[in-house]
Amino acid sequence: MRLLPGLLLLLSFPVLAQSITFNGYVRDERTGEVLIGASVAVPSQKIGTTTNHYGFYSLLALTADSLNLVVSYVGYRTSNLRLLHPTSQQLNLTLTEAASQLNEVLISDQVTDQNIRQTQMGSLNLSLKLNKTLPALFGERDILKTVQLLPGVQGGQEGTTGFYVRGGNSDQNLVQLDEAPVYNPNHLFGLFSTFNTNALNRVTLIKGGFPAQYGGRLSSILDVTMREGNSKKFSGQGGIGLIASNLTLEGPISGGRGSYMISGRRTYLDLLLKPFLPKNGKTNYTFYDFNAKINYRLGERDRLFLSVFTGRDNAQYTGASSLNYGIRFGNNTATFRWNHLFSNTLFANTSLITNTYQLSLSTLQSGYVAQIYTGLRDYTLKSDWEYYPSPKHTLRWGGIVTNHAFAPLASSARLPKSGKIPVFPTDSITRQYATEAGLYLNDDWILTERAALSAGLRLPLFRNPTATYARLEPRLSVRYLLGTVTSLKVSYSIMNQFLHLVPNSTASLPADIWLPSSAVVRPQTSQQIAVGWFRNSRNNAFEMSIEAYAKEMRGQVLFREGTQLLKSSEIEQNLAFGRGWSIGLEFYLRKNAGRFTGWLSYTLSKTMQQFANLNRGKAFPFAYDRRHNLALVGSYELSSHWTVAGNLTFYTGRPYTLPVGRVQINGGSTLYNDIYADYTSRNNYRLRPYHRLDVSVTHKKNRTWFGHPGTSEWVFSTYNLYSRLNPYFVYATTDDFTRQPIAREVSLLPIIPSVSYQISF
Amino acid sequence: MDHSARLSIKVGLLLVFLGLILIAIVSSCEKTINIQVQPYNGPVSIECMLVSGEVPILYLSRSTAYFSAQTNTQDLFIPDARVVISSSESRDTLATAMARDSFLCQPTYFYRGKLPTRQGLTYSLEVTYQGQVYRAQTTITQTKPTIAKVKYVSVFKDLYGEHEGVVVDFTDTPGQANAYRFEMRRTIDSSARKTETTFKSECNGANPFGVSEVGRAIYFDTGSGDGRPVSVTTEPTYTHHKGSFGVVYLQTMDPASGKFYDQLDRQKLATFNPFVEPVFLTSNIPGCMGVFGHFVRSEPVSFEFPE
Repeated sequence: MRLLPGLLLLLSFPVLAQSITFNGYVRDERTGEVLIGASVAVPSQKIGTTTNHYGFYSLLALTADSLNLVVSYVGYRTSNLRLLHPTSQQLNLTLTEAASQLNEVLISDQVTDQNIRQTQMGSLNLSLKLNKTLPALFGERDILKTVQLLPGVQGGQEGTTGFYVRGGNSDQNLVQLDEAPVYNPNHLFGLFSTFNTNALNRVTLIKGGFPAQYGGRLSSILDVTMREGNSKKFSGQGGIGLIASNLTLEGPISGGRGSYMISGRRTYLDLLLKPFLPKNGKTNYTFYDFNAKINYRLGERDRLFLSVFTGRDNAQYTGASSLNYGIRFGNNTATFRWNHLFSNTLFANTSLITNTYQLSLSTLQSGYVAQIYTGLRDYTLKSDWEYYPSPKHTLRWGGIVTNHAFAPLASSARLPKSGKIPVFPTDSITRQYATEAGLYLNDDWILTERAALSAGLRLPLFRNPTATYARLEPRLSVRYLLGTVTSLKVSYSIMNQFLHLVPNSTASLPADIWLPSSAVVRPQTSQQIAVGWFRNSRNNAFEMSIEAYAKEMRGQVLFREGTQLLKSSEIEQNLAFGRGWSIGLEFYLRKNAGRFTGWLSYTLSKTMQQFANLNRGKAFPFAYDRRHNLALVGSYELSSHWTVAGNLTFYTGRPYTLPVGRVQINGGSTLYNDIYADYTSRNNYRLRPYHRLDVSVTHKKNRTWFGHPGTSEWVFSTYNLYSRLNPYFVYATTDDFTRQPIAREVSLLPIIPSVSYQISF
Repeated sequence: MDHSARLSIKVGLLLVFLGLILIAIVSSCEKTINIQVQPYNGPVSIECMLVSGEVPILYLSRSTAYFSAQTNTQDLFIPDARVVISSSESRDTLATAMARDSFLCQPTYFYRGKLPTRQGLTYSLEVTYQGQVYRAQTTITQTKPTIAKVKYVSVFKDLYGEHEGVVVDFTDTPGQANAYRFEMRRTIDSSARKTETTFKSECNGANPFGVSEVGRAIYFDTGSGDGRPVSVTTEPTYTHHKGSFGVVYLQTMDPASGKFYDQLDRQKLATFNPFVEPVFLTSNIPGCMGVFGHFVRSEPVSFEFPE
């Protein structure tokens, strides 16, 4: 510990004598909402920084008679602030939203050439304005659907929000809302995310080159930040969609010392469907989610935040013979945070977090019932520190400790003759407890005018009654400018993951089982190296990047062949362990300005897995291995009122397993016939390619609501415009008449038009 | 257009959208598709379980593509192979033979030897077909098990769901690795069907005929099970009437053969149960699909269905 102050002093020494410090917050002038990732720069000294997750910045500049401070943020007017005889001071800054819709940028809060200059690669910030124009399934805007359209990200099943990053399984994505993990960010079998976009401030996806402050997952971090609420005046927004409505209210507290935001959404699908369904039928569905956040400034140096989220789904569906669900699940999170400014250059945040997740699923198919229950509860304490000792260094360090409690259960068996699904008392499930901790240190270091690096080290620790694991995770990203508009970047990172989601690839269930690491189930580990070329043109109106990556993952978990669980205690004994690897090339071209905005992303990738106990030990394609993945997303503003938008997606069909041969073996049970299947390879077939076009038309109008100026917005959208019946899954069965083996393909979503109406005031 | 007309149009549009959305929600599409048949060099299937005191029976057939139209099992039989089973005391060349499966009303083809096998001897199998030679070996070491009791249970829940069962109580042979399987022989008529299907025999008229039922589960005495009392419950293959008679046996086979039959059972379960990963079959005989092993039958115990 003695080393740390010395190191900090060493880093800051060269500039202490002749520097001045500006620090403070950057906010929206109208609402007082903090702007995360806003740029604050002194161009004459070629220095700059960006605001952190709380809108805070600290910038060290050299003393001068006068300085020009440039503050910018996408969708906002850039602010030029001239300071005469500047001294170190707290400088809270505001930006005004750009008046013209036509100048609104579609995606990314990165400004100007941030994508060229920032050291980090594999990171994308999604503007929530995107959802105002893009087509929405059932009229529900969804940020996770947008994530699926980014390079390096594969979508899950048809219409769902599941995503798979650079060959990783879905459990390898850490989805966190105000720092609290959300283990299942989905509603309605995954057709919508649990994130109500009206309640969100910022969404960031990191898929490689992870800074040391992030850990716990192998493949990606989806960092979702809730809005703080309008600290200037009471305001609100709401919407009515085909299946759900939402309402968000916000306003100041104590004359602007704080603010609050509450937002809720509930479906009325259950009420709409009721008249059309058989009275004794079992198809029913409800979901809701609720977000609330409150913040309060105790003084110039201290702020408190409390944010909560709860979401719940309850569904029963009796449809085609292959789809028969009864499912209840929900997430709850609560985050209490304390920001403290120790000095102009030292910022700290301490968080207390609790989150729970429960899922209870019964699935019936062909006379068999599968039941899954997974329950998780986390208590987390974490502290993150940021230190800005010089314009060339930004140091971050901190620690986290989490106590996990797990309650897993899985079984599948014949449906009893009574037809009643067996009920498992969840209280009887054996709880498993574990503690996960981590320490990290990271330095963003500008080496020369052209070169910069971000180097860090994370030390994760995991302990439960059967095992203790301690790991080292070095992180390194290097950026080299090839000119003013081009840069090369390289990154290397090692990640560890102590939680595992065991997927069932055959049944395509919307739920899986979370398990902690143990003496039997070893942690997942990955190492990833990525190289990227980044270039902007036409004054940053166009951004282009090509990234290549290679990733190796160890400690991958799947069920053994033929596993049929009767008791949760059998789960560990029925797992197979192996490794996976993925290589890929990602191309990304984005247009940021003008009437037409959008992007083209293309990913060429290959992901394989190898398990000693599966597929006779031979390598096989990952369940979501898709060679080609193309997304074309665009939005065109016809006028100040009308906008048309669309997205076209195409990807290679995902692999699945079918037998290749039939073998006759006479001595088996007489209950069966003598024909057995000869599986030559796992995931040996592929579904037909997937492609779909969605379009939307938005009409926006200025209005007055309750005496307040506001807007109204109609959004007409069509999912799957040409109604392609994309394959959902394929299964083998026997023809009733010919007794021939046949394959049946199930498709889920045809053309789905929808409309929604939004207001804000 | 006045306000009420505009409102009517909006409401009308909403209703149209609602109708379409409901159709989309309650419908999904399922269809039969053509699967591109992958190249398949189907392995030869060999199955031979020696039974002490009985002549060897060997089933030999070729495999076929899964989605092939070839379903007739007779077409898959290989009649022109050379099959030899030998021990230190004898050499038996098996010849093709035929039996009739009365329930399925079809012939069954196989190879049959002339010399009964003996306890304690090691037997070698050699099958020569189209220039390929398949070899395997087994030593008949299993000790004859003794059934303590046979009873009936009308409702039983296990891995296979909820069903009736014939319960066999016995004590595991200590100091030996065993794999047990249920067997029952009885006489049925055309009114009987397989319990898992609606399939009935159609060629026997009112004449009764004999069937042999073999259980699907294999019970291993691994771990702490050695030498312990065991109770196994097996679902009968065919339906029955109150008072139907049967003769129950208990088979005990070498563990390697037990694993082979266990994987057959798990594959069928995986085929029926959509929530289970498919099982890849492995063979006890190099170069082909199959098993060469042995089992020993207990003395028969008669049994009557009480309902």
